[in-house]
Parts: sequence; C-alpha cells; structure tokens
Amino acid sequence: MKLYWIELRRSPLRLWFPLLVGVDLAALFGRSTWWIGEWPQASVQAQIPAFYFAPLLAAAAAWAAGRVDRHNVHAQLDAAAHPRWRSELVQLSATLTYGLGAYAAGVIAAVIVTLPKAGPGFLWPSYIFLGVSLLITYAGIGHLIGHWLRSPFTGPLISGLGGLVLISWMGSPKRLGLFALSGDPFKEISQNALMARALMAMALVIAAVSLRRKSPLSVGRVWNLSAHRGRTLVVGVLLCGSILGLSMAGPVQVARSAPSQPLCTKGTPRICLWPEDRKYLPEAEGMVKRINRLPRRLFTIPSEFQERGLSGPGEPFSGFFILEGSMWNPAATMAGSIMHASWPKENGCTLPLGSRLTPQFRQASADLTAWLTVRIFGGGTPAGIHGGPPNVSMPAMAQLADKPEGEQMDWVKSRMQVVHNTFCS
Amino acid sequence: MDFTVGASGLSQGHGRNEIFSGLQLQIGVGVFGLLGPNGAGKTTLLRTLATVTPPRAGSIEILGKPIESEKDARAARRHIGFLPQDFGYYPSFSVYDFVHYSAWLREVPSKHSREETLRVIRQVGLEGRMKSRMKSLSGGMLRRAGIASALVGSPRLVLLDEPTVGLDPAQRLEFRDLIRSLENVTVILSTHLVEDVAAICNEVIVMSSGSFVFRGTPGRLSSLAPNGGIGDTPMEQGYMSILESHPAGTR
Repeated sequence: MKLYWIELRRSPLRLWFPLLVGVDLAALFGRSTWWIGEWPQASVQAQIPAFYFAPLLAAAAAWAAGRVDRHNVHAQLDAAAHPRWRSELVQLSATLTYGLGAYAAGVIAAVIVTLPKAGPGFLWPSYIFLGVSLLITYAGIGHLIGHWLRSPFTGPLISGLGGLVLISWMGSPKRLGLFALSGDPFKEISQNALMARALMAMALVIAAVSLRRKSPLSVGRVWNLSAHRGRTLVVGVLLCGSILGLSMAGPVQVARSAPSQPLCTKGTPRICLWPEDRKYLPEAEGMVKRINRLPRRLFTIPSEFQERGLSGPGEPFSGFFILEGSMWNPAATMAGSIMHASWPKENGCTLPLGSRLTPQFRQASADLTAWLTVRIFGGGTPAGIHGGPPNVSMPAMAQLADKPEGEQMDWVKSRMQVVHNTFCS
Repeated sequence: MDFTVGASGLSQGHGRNEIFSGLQLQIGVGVFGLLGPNGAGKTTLLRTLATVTPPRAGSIEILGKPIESEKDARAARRHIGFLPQDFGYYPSFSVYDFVHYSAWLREVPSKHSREETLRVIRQVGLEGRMKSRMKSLSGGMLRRAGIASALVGSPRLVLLDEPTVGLDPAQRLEFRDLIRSLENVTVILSTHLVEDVAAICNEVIVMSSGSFVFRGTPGRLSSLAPNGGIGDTPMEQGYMSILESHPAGTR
C-alpha cells in the first residue's frame, strides 16, 4: 500500500488530474445536456469521456512504464524480494487511479444532475463498466508499449495517437464496440460482450505487468527458463483467447425486453414510451392533443404510437425513437404512420408499383408528411436537427403551419388529391 | 553453516564471452574488499551474488540455503542489501521515498518500515535532506542515499559496488565509520581504491580477468609489496605486484 501512495504522489497524472476532470466535465456537459433526466442516456454520456481519456491514459501509462529504463532502476527491481509484477501492478494502478478518478468525477456529476429529474432508477452500471474496461484496456496497452519503447516521447506518442486512431476507426459500437454512443432504453449492453471486454482488460493488465524486455542486468538469463516460458505462453494464450472472445461475444448493445407496463398517455390515440423516458410524457401528451386537432375526414389516425422496442422483439425496428432528447423524430415517425394509414383504400385503390409513382405523388406525399410532422411537433425543426423529406423546405412548412386553418386545409386537400389520383387511377 | 555466502564452480558470461568460471567462495561475517582492475568481473560477481543475474553454471548458497529458483532468490533477497555501481532512482522521489521504496522492495514489514527508513537515513547522515528530491542531491549525497537503501531492513549480506565513488575525502571517512559500525553483517565491497580496503576490510579478494588471484588480509597483501614496486603504499604495491604476476587475459 505504501508503494501505491508513493506512486500516486509521483505520478505525472497528479498534476494533470484537474485537467482530466475538466476534460471529463467538458465532454459530459459541453456536447449536450438533453440526456439529463434519463438514466440510460445519462449512463452512456457519463461513459463517453472514456473515449477521450483512454488514449491519454495509454500515453501516461507508457510514459510511467518507461521510467524504469530511463532512470535505470532495473537493479533495484531485479534485486527485490517482491516479484516484479507487483511493482509493475502498483505503478499501473497509480496511473489507473487518476484516469478512473477523473472518470468517476463525471459519473458522479451525471448522477447529481439526473437524480432530481429522472425519477426512479439509477445509472446503468453496464455502461459505466464498459467505460472502465476501456480505460483499463488502454492503460494496459500503454504500459506494455512503454516497456518496449523506453523513450519518454515515442512510447507515449505511439500509445496515445495509436490508441486514438484505433478507437476512432475501430472502436464504434458497430465494429469493436469499445464504447456506446446512445443509451436508448430499447437497447442494453450485452452481458457477454461486457464480459468479453472485461476479460480483455484483465488479460492486458496481466500481460502489461508480466511481459517486458529482458533486464540488461540479467544478461537474458532467468532462474527457471521453463517456468518463465510457461508464464509467457499462458499470458499469450490469455491475450489471444480474450481477442477471440471479443470477436465471438457479438454486438455490444442488444435489444432489451419490453416492459410489461409501458408508460402511455391518457385518451386516444395513445403514445407509449419506455418508463425510462418518462420525462417526455408531458410532451407526448401535448402531441396527442395536436394529433386530435388534425382533420379526421382527411387523415386516419392510428390508435396507438409506440416507442421502438415496445412492440416486442419480433418488431425491433417498429415504432419511433427519441433522437438526442427531441420529440421531433417521433413526430416525423407518427406523421409517416398517419400518412400510411390515410392512403386511399376504397374501391380497390392501391399503391402502384414503384416505377409508376410520379414525381408529383412523391412530392405531395413528402409535403404532407412534413406538414404533419410540424403540426404534431408543435413547431418547426428544432435547433440542432437538420434535414427532412427531399425537396421540402422545413421553414416554409413551419410558416404554413402558422397560417389560418382554412388556408392550411386547402393546401392539404390539394396534396391529398394527388395522392388519391395516384392510388385510384 | 559458518558462512553467509558461498559459491561453488561459479561461472558467468553471455554468449561466447566468459566473464568468470569455476569460482569458489565462502565468506562469513565481516567486511570483504573485492579489488581488481576494470573488467575483472567484480560487478558481475556482485550481481550474481545478489541473485540478480542467475549463474551460467555452479551454485550459490546464501545464509545456508542453496539458490536454485526464482523463489529461492526472492527469499534470499530479503536479507541482501545491494547497491549497484550506477544505481538508478526516480528523480522526483524524495530521499525518504527512495529508501522507503527500497524497504518495500525488500519486504520489510510495514509496521517497521517507517522507523527502519528513518534509522538508515540518520545512519548515513541525510536526516536533514529527508524531503529533498533525489535530483537535487549532490553526487556524494546520492551515494549516501544509495547506501541507506542497501542498509534498510538490516540485511545480513550487503553488497556494495564502488560505494565510495563520488564521495569527497570527509565523506569517505564517514563511509568507513559507517561500515565499521555494522555488526553481524557480511559486507562485500567492490572497489579499486586500495586505501578504502586497507582502512575497513578484514579480508581482501583480488580479482583479475575473472579469477581470484589473491585472498587474504590487507596486512598480507601489503607484505607482498616488493622493494621499489609500483604504488605509494605497501598495500598498493602488493596489489600491483599481484596484478603484474597475473596479467589481464591470463587465468
């Protein structure tokens, strides 16, 4: 324990720690704050600083591990009664303490701001552990590299920059799944994937503290060569096994079982949300009111709109999802559902084959969907959300939605006529 | 068992380069000087006796226990204080941290390590610089901190490689007093400063080209001084005479 305190006191990260905490809080609150009040999203946001920390930690671990060579401390370590891995582990632990400490500061901040608004629940530990395993993995890689590249610059540079390239290029949830970007309540961390990442982190720590270049003093000789080779082999097998495990563990996020009691608005139509999204319920109730103000003779309103995943595992992609804390995306999905339900069905009217869909139909359909989206949402495209249906000006739609009801109905009828003609021609 | 460290048929080298071979050694309590020119194999012998470098052939026994595995070596290292010639240190360590770290490496029990650290720091006269960073120490102070790290935990075998390098004359006198004050300890110090050996050693081993070419008391080494030999003191003359009769490259 005393060596741990000594290592903590002399770690270069001691001076950088306030900066690390600053980076964590900036990454947490500087990018967005919409996640506040929603436990799974807050969990993912608290985990995201690990993406930034991991390469920094790898560089710091490489720097710290290279000191033994740079300062010629081999003789003391080689002459120690303690097994060498213990001093290595203590050194790595000190580096990790600062990284995990700064990470923990962000996690605590996320809890503090979410607690008053989110209602029952807490951060999802699986997301937090995903970040922890990423930090440990990177610190292990950095420590390992630091032993082989003794320079105070090369090792940290390769560890830090290489780590940044690796995580940016391969770390996304669809590739290696080293981190999660979104904490939608219909997804959760796969226990197998988390276990595989934890095993990989553990394997790298074991490799980092037990594999190193031969000490210059030992002239490459060890007391028991077969035991030494056996240990190296075990570590190699463990590393290969953990990489294999990672590749076989499947995607990092999987569909979550639907709750037996989703959270739904009162009246008709119903909008049903995951309980974790309870903070959006007042907005959903406002949307129900606005949907009910749509002209029923022109539009058919489905009786229920569900958030993605609530229909059960058989329909993983049905339903709306709340994107970056805005109900705009649900409004667009509901608009699409209303349009679909409102297509003419009388007297054998049917949607023609794709090749017979005219540009006029496509435009009218896109216009109507955009108008419905604005009406359901209760305003134009919110700041930060871009795009929309092709060839549709969303600001123009917002202006249209502000015009007198009669004027809007004339515009709707003219587009619906195009749709009707296409279906029933 | 009446010796602290023993070696039989001890050989060391790397690749085709043989540093020494077939050395026999038994050393009990007292201060032993290991004299010899550069390249004689003194440093390699001390590293081998410190169990840092496993021997190429032969056996080592420390405190009556043969050292045959890493486990044996680690157990023995609890009783060995080793100060390498160019010992390293983390520059940001304080003197206290540096010695405390050595105590940890030697597995000095936690409950004693603080008082033990303070004791050896006082013993080498660095109590006034306890909180100073290692990088701020002069060469002599660094050497004293190194000696403190070798003595922490009261080891039974102390191996000092060129411990007086960098010390001024007054500090060398203090060092000699320090070594003399050690009781029930086997100290092996490698040096090429004959006067240090004359002042504090009970016995001298002269090494040349990987062989022991003399073993005896400092007085006996002095008695080998020829008339008009090279050197300022009888002991230096005796030492030079031994080396001349065993020129480098011969065994």
